Amino acid sequence: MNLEPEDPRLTAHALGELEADELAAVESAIAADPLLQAEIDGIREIQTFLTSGLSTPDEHLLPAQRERILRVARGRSGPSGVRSIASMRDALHPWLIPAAAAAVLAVTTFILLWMPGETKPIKTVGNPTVEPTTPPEISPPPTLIEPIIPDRSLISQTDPLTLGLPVLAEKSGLEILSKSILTDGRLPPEDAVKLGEILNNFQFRLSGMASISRSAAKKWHPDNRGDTGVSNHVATLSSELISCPWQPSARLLLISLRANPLTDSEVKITYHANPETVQSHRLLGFKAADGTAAGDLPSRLPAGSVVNLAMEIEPSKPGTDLGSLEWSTDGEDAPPISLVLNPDAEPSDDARFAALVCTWSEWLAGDQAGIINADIVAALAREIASSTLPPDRTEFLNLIERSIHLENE
Amino acid sequence: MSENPDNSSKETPASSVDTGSSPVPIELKLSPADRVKFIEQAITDHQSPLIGYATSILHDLDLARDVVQDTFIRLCEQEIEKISGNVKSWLFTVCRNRSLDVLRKEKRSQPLEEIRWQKVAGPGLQPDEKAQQDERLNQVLGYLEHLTDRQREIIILKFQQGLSYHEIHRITGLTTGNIGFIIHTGLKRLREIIPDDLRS
Repeated sequence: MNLEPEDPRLTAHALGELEADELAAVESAIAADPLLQAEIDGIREIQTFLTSGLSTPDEHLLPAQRERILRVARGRSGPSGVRSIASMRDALHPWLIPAAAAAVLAVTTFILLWMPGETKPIKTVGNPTVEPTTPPEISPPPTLIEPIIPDRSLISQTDPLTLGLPVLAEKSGLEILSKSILTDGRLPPEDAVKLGEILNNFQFRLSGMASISRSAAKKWHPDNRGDTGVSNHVATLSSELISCPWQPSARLLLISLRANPLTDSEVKITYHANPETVQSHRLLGFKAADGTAAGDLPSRLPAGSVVNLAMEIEPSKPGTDLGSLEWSTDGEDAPPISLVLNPDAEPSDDARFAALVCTWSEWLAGDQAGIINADIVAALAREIASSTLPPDRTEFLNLIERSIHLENE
Repeated sequence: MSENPDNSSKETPASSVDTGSSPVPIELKLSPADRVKFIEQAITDHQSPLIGYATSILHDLDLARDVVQDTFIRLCEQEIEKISGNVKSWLFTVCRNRSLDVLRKEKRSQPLEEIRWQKVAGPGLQPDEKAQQDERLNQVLGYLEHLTDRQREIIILKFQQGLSYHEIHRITGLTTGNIGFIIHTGLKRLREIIPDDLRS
């Protein structure tokens, strides 16, 4: 075989890509020609340069992204149950279309007749007899990227004194709002506002009671931090009670759950209201579904993630004990948090910022129509604004400002 | 209906499903739990190279992560048995197409020299080593700017992602002969412009 130094087969040979039927002949030609051997050496030299130079560090998906993918995977019933929209469209018989339209119309009418208003009253604790009868369970259809229990969906609650809290580390809601407000120049649809996801974009150091879950199995000890230098705690839960910005008689309970940086865990949190002092309560961003069977709440806390929640609690009479937060990690009970109100305590800066996030989200979502307006949001934002705010919070204030302008346009 | 971006399902093994690099095959007729396990394994095996590849196209680590997330979500929609054995190529193909879609929409024209590789030092990688790696990477990417778009893409697939000519064929649709020629001419050009002392 006669080979020229310009022959691409030399490169293929140097890179181990030559087909077997040509390999022997090319190797013989190279062995017989020093010029070809030098060419092979040059190719391998540049190969080494590129392979080492182009190596990139191991980048990984963010914990929330990984969790979102796995939620989608878990939401699928298996290969036989997986069907694309295209395949379903192909399988749809023409006669089914008017029938389906009629069914959709009937279901929509049914839902509209039963659906509670946007300003559904918050859950009453003290007088269960005034509760509405069991509403129909309206479960949103599962979608590809939505959490298992999306924000603003129904939270099952069979006991008016307790409320299971969802562990949702999702945070993409703010990005969606930013795109709508800053890029598209319009306020987002109310049902696109996901308060929990917006809160999760920020990290809060709350100044109220806190609790650390330490797995007994891991034999936690302050001096035993392992090779990673990271504490073996499973998760930390912190809280803060402040005045509710839009309802002076109510309290805003802020909750921040912080995962261990390296390990995932299963976390269950339940709010237990004190029937002596609490008239009503609600989890912001969700609608209560009284009397429905308790479902499985999202409980997976990805490593390194932070989950923030906010509740509005309406006291029935003066009192400082508003109940407790009980929680467990990986099936082991963690120390509960007593929700004791200190009327003299000044809210922390983080709690005031969290209250602004909640107020703005509630306003955009229309959850407190007639109570929260742009003036209240603007006043709270002015209180928060300072030159020392972190960049992400400054950007958030800019977003609020833009949204208020859009409202006034 | 399974998405098959490269029309290569004929190579699907009949007896097992694997993520392309996992030594542990997953039996057919996946249960929901096995399906999740398969996706988890695929993420573990391929997330890092896919993010690196998407970053080389988009020049933006955050966007690259978003594209890779979309890619794995698309994988969740597939009938995994139909793409088993080709999962790696399938992921790279979807990732490439999604990246190019995003690129067209974003109209990003940031030159490679200005890439801000927002790296986090991996285990055992000291800050000075990380800085050296960044510098070397940016230097090589700078040389790749002298190539055509096609040459640059194929060379990144070959030398950064370690893909074979056949795998690159599945992703790009180019023939293996064409790929060999593009790599040959690309390397020749690089040997002309990269100083000897850097290569040795």
